[in-house]
Amino acid sequence: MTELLKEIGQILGDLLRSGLDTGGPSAAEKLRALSGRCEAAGLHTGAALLDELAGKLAARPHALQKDDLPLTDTLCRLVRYEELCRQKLQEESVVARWQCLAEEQEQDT
Amino acid sequence: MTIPGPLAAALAAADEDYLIGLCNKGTVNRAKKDLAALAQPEATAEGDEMVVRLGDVVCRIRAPLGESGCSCPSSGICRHRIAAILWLRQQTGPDEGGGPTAASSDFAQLRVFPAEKLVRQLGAKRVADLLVRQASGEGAAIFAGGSTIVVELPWRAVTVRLLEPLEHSSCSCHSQSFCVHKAEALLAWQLQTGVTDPAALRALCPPEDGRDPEAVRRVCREVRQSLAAQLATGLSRLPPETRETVERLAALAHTAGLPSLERALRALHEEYTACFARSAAFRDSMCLARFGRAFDLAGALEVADEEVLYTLAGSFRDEYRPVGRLELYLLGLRAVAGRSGYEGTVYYFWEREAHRFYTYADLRPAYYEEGARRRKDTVLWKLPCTLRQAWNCALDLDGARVNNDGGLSSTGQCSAVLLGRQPPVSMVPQSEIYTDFSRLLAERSAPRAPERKRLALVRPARCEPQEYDRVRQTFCLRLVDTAGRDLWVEVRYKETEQAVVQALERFAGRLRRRPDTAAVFFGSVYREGDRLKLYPIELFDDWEAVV
Repeated sequence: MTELLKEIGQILGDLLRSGLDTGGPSAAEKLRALSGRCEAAGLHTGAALLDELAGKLAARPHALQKDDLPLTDTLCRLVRYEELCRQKLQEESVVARWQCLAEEQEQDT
Repeated sequence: MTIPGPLAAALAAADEDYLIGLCNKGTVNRAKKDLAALAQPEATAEGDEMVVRLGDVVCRIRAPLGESGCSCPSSGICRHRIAAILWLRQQTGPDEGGGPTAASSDFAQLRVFPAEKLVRQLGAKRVADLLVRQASGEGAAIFAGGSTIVVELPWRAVTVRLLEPLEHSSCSCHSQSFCVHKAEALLAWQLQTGVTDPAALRALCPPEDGRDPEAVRRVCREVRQSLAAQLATGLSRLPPETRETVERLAALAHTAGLPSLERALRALHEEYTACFARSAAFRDSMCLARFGRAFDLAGALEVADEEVLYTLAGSFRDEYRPVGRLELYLLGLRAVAGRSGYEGTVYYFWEREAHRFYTYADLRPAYYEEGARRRKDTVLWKLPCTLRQAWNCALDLDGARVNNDGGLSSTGQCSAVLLGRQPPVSMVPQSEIYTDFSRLLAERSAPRAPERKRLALVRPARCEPQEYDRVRQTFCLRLVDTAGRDLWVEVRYKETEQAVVQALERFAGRLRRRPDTAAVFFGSVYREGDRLKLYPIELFDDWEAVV
């Protein structure tokens, strides 16, 4: 899960760096692949958002009048979603670490 | 003597309180003395008024009495006019038609005075303050009786005497016009008598002065379009001038009265500056988060109705609202020197009644001063000592004012009574001390929460001192609860943290000699990686007998 969220963050960061004009078409494919992995990991909202963003990025080069507002909107929602997931994951990782410590303590005794 | 009808009625209704309301008590007393010393005045009726000659001056007394005239140069109600009124009242005694017994007024004119006008004159902030004061029982002191209503506004140190007609009311600020004190006093009286109610007043208050919904929408649209265009181009192709574009957008947000959007854009501006300066501290993830926050906020503001807009737009500066009496206990203090250029001390209080934390930040800009200059400690709220000296003391604060972040105001309008030094165990109930770190994780460690929401008192089952990390220059202490969960106290060494590190090292030394030393830590909780951490503000190594 951590790896998956890291990859989503990475691809969104790359999009911000390279821009929709340059990085959009290549990012669409990667986003679709990530969407499948998200679905498998149980992140349904994340999968839907990734699919939506991938669809808009793929359609963008074919549009004569480019309206980037809906696309930016989806990207920002995905950024927020990824941030919330990371926070939740961090909370769970603290608990998991405590569980490991408890198990180690039990083994020692 | 024949006195015209309306004037006779006005004289009959005007008791001494009414005359004091027209001017002041001193003038009325002086007029009484003058009248006793004077020879018999001469009086003649002219139309609806009485012309009274008192020695060298001539007074024209008419109804309403506040509109009477005098040949002396005084612009207000002078002692001559009061003397003339008192003399005329004596002439129309009980034996002469009706008598001067003042009938109790029902203040019909004051009742029908529109609340809209008062709200417009006072402004939304003053009205909101008045409503909070009335609700907290610390509102205006109102004494109604006879022909006047005396309203004391202690927070403004003024007394208003409301009369009919309203324009002849007086205020201890000596304003001849209908000043804000008179408006506030009248509104307080209308609230007390039920002429108007708080809900109606809130409905009358404009959400924010000077915010034009059309301008808000236009600015938000421009922000969104500009950010979308930046995303389309990409950071690597954007010119460095984009920073100025974002700053210009922040200025537009400021002009449109959107402080929260302005802050979001300034935060993005910081990221862009770091990016174009090729700073090692720049992170894509942080830039993306700030970009998303600014874009989302602009979108939400663009479609918000008036009520939501008021909440989302935020406020330019902290407003301190009265909360009445607070029963405080000074738990700890901390020296701060932020990157913003402000430095000083933050004091942390525990509220004994409501069981919550409050802070007082004594911060001053440091960027004007070259080198360290020791500042005097703060003396607040009429305390007999400095706040630093009140460490671990209980104090009752009357008339306290608090902002949304739980910050206490230093206003001179509130005063504190020092109750002396007390052991913290008698001030903070056992249930408020965290001994289970899983509860600490769930309740006190939310990322992005303000510091006040992350403050906690923690009692570990044991403490394990760690080796000083010379590479990271960090002092570490591992706190463990009864279930074996750990919480890390970490302080990175720097000049301002020297005292904190030294205190912790002394404590670690004691721990090594006596590993069973019990301690309570007060600090702010945060998460880092897969660890729960605590920044220590105060350490009580003998909680029960700390004093």
